[in-house]
Amino acid sequence: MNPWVAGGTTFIASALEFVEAATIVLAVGYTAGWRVALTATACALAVLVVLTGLLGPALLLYVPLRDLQIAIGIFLTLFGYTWLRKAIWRYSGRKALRDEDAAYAAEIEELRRHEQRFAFATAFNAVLLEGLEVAIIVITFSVGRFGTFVWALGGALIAGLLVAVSAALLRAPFSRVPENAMGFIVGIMLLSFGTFWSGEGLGVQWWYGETTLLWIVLLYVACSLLLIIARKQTQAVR
Amino acid sequence: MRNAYKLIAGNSVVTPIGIAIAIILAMTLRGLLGQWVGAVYVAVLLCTLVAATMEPVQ
Repeated sequence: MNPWVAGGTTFIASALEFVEAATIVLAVGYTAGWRVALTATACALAVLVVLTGLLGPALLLYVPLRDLQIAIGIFLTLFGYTWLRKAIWRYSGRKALRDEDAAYAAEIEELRRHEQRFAFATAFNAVLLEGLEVAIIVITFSVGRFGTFVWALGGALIAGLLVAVSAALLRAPFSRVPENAMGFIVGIMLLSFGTFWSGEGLGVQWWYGETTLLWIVLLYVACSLLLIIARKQTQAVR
Repeated sequence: MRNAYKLIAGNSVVTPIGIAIAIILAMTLRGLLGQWVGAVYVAVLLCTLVAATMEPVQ
């Protein structure tokens, strides 16, 4: 696989996940104090490093590549459907666009009603959960290809660093990130790779070898755009 | 368990069923259709996408 594609996809996906985590960590920092927020973040990151450090090599060592291709392909396909249909719902007006300012305000309101332990748990859970999604994407993109792992991990780390530095400088939620457009792209990429890999694992002979992936991407883009247009028209008629 | 399902499949009922149908078809028709099985596989997954967007908004 082209390393730029792996790095780029994990970069966009990770940036989105880290933006959501950063919104919650910022809310905790402002209401319960930065010590709680940063300790919870550090603890969650430590758990993540241990989890991925154990999970990644274990997968590569003990599971045959073909089985791994099927399992990971299915995983990516499911993940891709989740991201893509959410983006389609948002573009077609069925679901409200994610508003980081509103999410931030709601989080602060919730935190004010609870004590310190709740604040720690909130920041810890947010970083762990969003980080876990990033870890899954990085691991699945890297199976059987060490070179790709470096690019995928690099993309995620750069995204994490960018979001962390921006959060420290801005000290405000990221309300201007085009989240839905990024979610749409990530959904298409995850779904396309998932389809391609699971097919390969199942013994499907793709017509144009690896180039078929490009056709799969184009098909999903065309289908998604048609769905958005159709849904918008249905909404307008109602 | 429920949270894990929400994280991975977004609480969708349609997507796991669609993927299962695509896999079963690919495995059974592989010998019969040759290279065309790829087209069937992608077509089923595309239909799953269409069906998934028709589910209630989560």
